[in-house]
Amino acid sequence: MKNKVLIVDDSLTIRQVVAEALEAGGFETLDASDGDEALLKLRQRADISLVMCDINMPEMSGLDLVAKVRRLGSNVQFVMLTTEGKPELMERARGLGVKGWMLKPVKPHLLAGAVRSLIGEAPSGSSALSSSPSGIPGTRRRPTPSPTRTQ
Amino acid sequence: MTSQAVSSVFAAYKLPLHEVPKPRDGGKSLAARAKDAGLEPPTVGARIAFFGAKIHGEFMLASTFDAIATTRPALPGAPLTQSAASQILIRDWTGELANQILGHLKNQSRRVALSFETRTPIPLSGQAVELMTPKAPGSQVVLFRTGRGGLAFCFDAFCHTDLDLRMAAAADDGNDGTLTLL
Repeated sequence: MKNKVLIVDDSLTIRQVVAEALEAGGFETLDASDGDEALLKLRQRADISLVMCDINMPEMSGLDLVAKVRRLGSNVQFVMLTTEGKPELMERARGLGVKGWMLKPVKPHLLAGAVRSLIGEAPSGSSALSSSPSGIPGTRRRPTPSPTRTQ
Repeated sequence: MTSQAVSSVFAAYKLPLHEVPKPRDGGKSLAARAKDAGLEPPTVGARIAFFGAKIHGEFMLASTFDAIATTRPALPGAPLTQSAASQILIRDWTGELANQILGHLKNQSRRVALSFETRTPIPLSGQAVELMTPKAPGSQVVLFRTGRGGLAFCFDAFCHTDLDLRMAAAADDGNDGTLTLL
């Protein structure tokens, strides 16, 4: 059975590009244009393996969506696909159990491998990624923040 | 800074850009500036408001259907034409392109401790594009020629303090499109 990925982005083009790349890589995709539609689809489908989600969307931000999903008791995996690179946002995402962060522009040839690496290494329902394999194409570790200096 | 952010994003979509000299500005619209520079009149565009403690304003993109269509990732199905359905797709993609460029500007700006938030893009077409006019005294307008039409961009920023935005421009770290494990 194919793994299912929910793509959440207010841009139709991004949803189409990501879906095309993931389907070519052997995934089944669903999409949602905003957070409310995403919540509905997550409630309807318990078999979604991963959510690939934009951050800046009208009405509900991607991170607010993750927070709502967590409050509903779901541990579905999230990857944020965004133009945002703010460390504070990445930290908030990490705290919500988000697995990965991809900066736009999208590189379609890297998408399926990146999703496969996440779904493959952590079964659905697990939380923090503690032992990711190295050497996955298009994948990097988040740089470790420098230790805080005390005066 | 604007020029560098635009070039970074368009490089990802494999559309070579050639910056054209800016005509002397007289507070004119982006469409008038494009015309003065010998570019085709823009027909599609997008604007995104941004705001922060030290800066606020709008980012604007104005271009032609063909230039934007060239950058839209190839997808199965009929090629884009001037049909109403294609116009909707191009408006959507214009907004997303503007969003990605402003995202680059936002990430670059953090290098000079400048932080701002952005609204969602407002795609435009027709007369609304002709009326796009920078308002800030120090707005940065950049114009490009492509093989498929012109592109005009404006970082229309009101700075609340002395900021040298040029300092923020730097080479990309090459992380676009790669997965960062959190």
